[in-house]
Amino acid sequence: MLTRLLQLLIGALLTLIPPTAMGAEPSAPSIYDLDSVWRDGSNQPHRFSSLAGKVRVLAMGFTSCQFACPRIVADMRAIELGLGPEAAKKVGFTFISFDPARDTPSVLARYQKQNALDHWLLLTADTDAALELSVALGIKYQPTPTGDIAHSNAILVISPTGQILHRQDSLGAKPDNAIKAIQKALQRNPAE
Amino acid sequence: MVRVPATRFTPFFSKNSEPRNLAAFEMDVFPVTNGDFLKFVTANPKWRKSNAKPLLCEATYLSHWLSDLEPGPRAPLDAPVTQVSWFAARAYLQSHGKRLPSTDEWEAAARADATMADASGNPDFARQILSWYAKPTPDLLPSVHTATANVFGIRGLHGLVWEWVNDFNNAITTGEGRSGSSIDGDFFCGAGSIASADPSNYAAFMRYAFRASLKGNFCVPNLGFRGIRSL
Repeated sequence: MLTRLLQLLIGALLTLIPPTAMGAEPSAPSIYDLDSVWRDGSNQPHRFSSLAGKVRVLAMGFTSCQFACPRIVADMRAIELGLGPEAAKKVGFTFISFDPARDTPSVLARYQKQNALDHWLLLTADTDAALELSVALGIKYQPTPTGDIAHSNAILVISPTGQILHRQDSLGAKPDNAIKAIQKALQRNPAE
Repeated sequence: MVRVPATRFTPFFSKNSEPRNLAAFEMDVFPVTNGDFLKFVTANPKWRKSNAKPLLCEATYLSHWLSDLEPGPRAPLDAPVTQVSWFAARAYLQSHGKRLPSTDEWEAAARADATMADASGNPDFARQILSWYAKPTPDLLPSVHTATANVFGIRGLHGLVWEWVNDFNNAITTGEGRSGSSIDGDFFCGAGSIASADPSNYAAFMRYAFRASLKGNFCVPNLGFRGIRSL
């Protein structure tokens, strides 16, 4: 009876220690368990897992999108501005294409310049890598017969270890909740 | 594998579009079995259930297997493998030089019955499929060899397990179907063009609804897969 009580007590005390302090692996899914290879606007390769290590604000879209993607990019900018320059430079703003046929690295470079997305990372790969990533992120997209792509409008805040900390689904949403999530993550993981 | 010839196909959710040309392909006669999958995880340790990453396989991955390399009594070797995620299915097929079918490819193969390439006008065929959908999943799945062949020689597209498709995530629908048929324009760019082409095909509708409910790491007791190859 007493040993059982002791076991319960020790068990209860152990739950107070965060798993990461005990050296355990985070059991929440990490998007960086994907090992696809992407290219940026300078045609530099990036293994997806190498994006780990900093807080990221990430969205998928395509540069020829006339409707939602300009709004998504604007919403990401609102988050960037709301964070202030000190915090914003610790965050990786990342825009990933699911239209690799049209979004080549040079198209991305042009889009980045035209939209003044300094310090952002724009990535493109092949249709299969884009499909795999969209499934992992829970972002739906569907090519339409007119050559457009219908897609969900998610902006994700990702932790340095690849956990999805926050998801903003509506276009034109206030950046406040995303900013709060980022600030919390930056406090937990002070970056250089 | 057997050949499914090129055909004209109207995707289910495309009210305003013309039928599209679907190129010929080869499809597995049977869904992948526990025995098949055992060979795969034996050769590929990172896909054994104790090594699987939560992003790629939820916690119920192969939970009916006794251990990493022992399917055991609840997973007969010649029964379709289930409780495998989309990521796991794709890794298996990639190692065999195959891929998952697209929704259109799977549906084109599955609209055949024993005598016709396109039996979608046959109410008996539809009724048979719906009566299978009405049954609960048996505790022990039957051998894939119990499935009869359709006119292409493919077995068990209906009557064994649901099957993964490569583009399951591309159905642009909201989760809450009771809120009406319009798609939340705020959530989806370009959503206005997507609607059902054939509301009388209830079996197809159920399959679409099921697929739309899935996430890539889901491991479901009555969901397996088979492979195809482009020609």
